[in-house]
Amino acid sequence: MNETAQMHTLEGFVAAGVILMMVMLISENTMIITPQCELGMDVQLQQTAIDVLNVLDIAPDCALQFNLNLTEHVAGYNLSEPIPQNNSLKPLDTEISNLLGDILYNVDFVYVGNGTITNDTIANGTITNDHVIMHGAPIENSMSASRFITLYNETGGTWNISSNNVQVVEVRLIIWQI
Amino acid sequence: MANITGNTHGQWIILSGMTISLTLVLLAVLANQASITGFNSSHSALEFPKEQIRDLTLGVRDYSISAAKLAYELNNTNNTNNETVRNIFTRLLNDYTSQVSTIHSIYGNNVNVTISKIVFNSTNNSIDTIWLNIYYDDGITYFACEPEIIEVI
Repeated sequence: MNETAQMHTLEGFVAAGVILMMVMLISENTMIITPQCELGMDVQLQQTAIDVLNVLDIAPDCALQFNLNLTEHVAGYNLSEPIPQNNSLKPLDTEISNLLGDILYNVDFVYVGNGTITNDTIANGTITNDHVIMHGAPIENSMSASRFITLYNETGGTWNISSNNVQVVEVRLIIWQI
Repeated sequence: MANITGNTHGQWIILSGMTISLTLVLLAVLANQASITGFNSSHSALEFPKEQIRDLTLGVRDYSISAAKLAYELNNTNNTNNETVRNIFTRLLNDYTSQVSTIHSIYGNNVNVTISKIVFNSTNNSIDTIWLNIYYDDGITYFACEPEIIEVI
């Protein structure tokens, strides 16, 4: 057996170890700023938005601070008042703020017509987008989630819905992190 | 040249060199794969409209049950028959579908809901079961539920 150059062999292993550590250090550092990790954060942010809307819509009233679910919050929105309103939007703002913590958000209500739903407004397909809760301008990596709720004549509020019509409202939550 | 080819010393150095280079190649491949996997999984999660489809299906189910009951109540008021209940229900569902479809069109999605079958209660004019076809298409993902069977309780 050739026993020469043993020290060189050991040097080789040490060098391999040093190179390995350097490669790991560089790869781990670059991972933080690579676009795919940014996408991963976007996925988490969007899932958070979806979860907030789900909780507000599905959770029993008693589980929420103001005993109102998402449909009741939307029904209480006054279409004729300017924003910000001191009605059901204020509890909605507080509920979302409690659930999101430091994350910033805006809320839009999107619906067909102008609050008075008739066969004509449905046929015309005109869309109204009300920015009902504003906490600033969304930044580049903002994410959004939506939930469709249905208002009937019985749900009340200032929506003008006849007994044989319904109003579909998309609640759009836009969130971003600084 | 003869000296170099005849020199058999330093075999371990050559072997360790090969081991190091192979390890580096392996690590580079693994690091690359990890990055691509992260990108693909995140991109797929953002692209696939799981929540939109779930929200649409749940919304249609909930609304259909309410609309079936409302159609029955309106029918009782007018004292008419199964066909009237069917017509009222169809109109209510069309109103709902039209609004949902219009709002989805903002995002470039095509949404449609059609009635496949309505099963009436044999003793009165109420609706027992509704068979609906639900379609969702965002240009990349196409979803069709044919039929979505809804039991009106």
